[in-house]
Amino acid sequence: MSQSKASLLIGIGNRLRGDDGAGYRLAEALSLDPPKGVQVIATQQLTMELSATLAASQRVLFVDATLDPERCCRWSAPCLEAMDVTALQAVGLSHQLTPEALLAATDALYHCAPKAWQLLLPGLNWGHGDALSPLTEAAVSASLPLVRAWSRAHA
Amino acid sequence: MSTRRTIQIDPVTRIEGHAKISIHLGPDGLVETARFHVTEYRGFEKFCEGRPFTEMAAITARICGICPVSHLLAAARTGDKILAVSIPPAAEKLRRLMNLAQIIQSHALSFFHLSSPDFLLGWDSDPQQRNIFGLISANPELARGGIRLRQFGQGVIEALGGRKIHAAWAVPGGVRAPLSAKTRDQITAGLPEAHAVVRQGLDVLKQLLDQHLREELHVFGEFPSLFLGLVGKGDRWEHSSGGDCAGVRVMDSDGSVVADGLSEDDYASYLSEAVEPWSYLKFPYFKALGPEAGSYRVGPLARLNLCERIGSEQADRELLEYRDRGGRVVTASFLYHLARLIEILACLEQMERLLDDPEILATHVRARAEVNCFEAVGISEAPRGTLLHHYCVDENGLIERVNLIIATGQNNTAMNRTITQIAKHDLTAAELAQPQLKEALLNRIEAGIRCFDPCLSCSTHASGSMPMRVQLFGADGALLDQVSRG
Repeated sequence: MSQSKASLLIGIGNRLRGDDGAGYRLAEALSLDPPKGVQVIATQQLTMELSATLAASQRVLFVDATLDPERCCRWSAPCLEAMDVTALQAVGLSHQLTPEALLAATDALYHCAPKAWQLLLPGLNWGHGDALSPLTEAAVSASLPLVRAWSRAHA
Repeated sequence: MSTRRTIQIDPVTRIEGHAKISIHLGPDGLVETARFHVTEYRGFEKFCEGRPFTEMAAITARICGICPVSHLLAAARTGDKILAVSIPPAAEKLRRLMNLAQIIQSHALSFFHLSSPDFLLGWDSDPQQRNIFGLISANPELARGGIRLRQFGQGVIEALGGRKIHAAWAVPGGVRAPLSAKTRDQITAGLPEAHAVVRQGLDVLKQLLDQHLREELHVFGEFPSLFLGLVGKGDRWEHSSGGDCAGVRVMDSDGSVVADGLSEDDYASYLSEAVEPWSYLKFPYFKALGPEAGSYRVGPLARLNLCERIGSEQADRELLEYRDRGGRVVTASFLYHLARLIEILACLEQMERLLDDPEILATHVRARAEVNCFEAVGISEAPRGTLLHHYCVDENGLIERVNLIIATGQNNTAMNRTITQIAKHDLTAAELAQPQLKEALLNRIEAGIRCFDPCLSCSTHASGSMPMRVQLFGADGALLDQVSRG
């Protein structure tokens, strides 16, 4: 029931599973002073219902935590990665959707998909608890200015 | 040498939870029985002990991410009784509004996302495509509508409770926050589109039932049983225990009322639970008739059987047509799907009526009191059927004992009978003689479970991922064939 805006930021994660909540927390922090023209959504997981919101947006940034050791070990600063929305393919149904699958569903349902980026934050601890590890917490803080710059660049 | 065999379907897909099906063949080589095994366990009843009863709504809502509102409302209702208060009228109406939204979003998920791909793409379509993505390709308008309908239900929950999932909004004594006129108007604005989607779903399903899904009515769980659920005053359809609720009714397949006006407080006197070593899911039954004759069905099919009328124009029209199709008491479990769509329509009409009531904007929405009662039972109609929460507390309101009776568990016997019926019908001697069983046949057996839209995370209060497996066993217990997915 919210009004869609030109840009969309979706922070993904479970706040009760340690660093998995990084994306969610970044979206929450951004919501305290949302950038102009950006709709901010904090969600535990991507669901098909978000497709209508995506279809109404010109660009989207997915923010999520990653356990990928390659990314975590060499992580030094946040970096946005453009997603190749021209090569989207639907994937099988499961309890959760990947950004790629959600974009594919949006394209199939509404014949349009926004330009997409992702920001992956390093995560070390996926155990129970609502605290972020120091590395992840630092990554969230360091990412906020970058996300605001992304917002301004596409305002 | 024995020729008994067993088939297993493991995991069962497109359900909420983790389960498998085993199909047991007899010495004659034909299907003897099929079993639905629920293989997850969590133990919420145990670890709630020692917590304040005021936390139960928030804790038990965590049992499930699909139907947390059901637990939220049942827990709040139980909490009302521990406080021994009557909640403010506006709170009663707001809780009803949230339950209606919950039923809409859950039924939309069941029909549009999980079950309609079978109907529209075919039982034997590519399993990789037989899902919401396949539906998007085959019928994007219906898929889009189904997604939007679920989004509408979730949007109402979020508008009321602040979150789509696990909104800690209903509390003992009422609700945390009143409804603003702006939010009411936003919800009202979404009703026409939701109506259009459910009409589309009804048209599609009824057409399919008139054509190539006719056989399923007689094969997918068509048998007599009892039906149990809440009814409203004047024999109307009911989903909540407050206000005009007339208590629990039990009806048999002939339409005779076996018991009426039962109070949730006395549930232990009329319900009992059997256990089987092969499943974590218990088998509740109506105590007076014993485990077999006392087995009953709950949920949309039962609720529509138990009432005389729904109490709103369009839904009542659909109810009459539904009964023309299935009889005054519908015993075909496949019609759970149609019952779900009729209930969505009923929810939308009731929602409209509630939103038109000026009292729903009243700001007094919570009654406050201390612990006045040490034992209480709350009841609510979850999307899947009747849900009971039973708490015992000490003088400080700390939980001493919890018992949760969940809708899906109450359909356990019916689910087992349904898959046995489908397996006996579909797995003929010729099919069983094939070197490998057809995936489409196993999918039909799984779909028998999906008629009931089980929520295994709720029914075992267990953490769920949702894969499923079907296994075929010989008379000697040897595993002869299996299909796994997920």
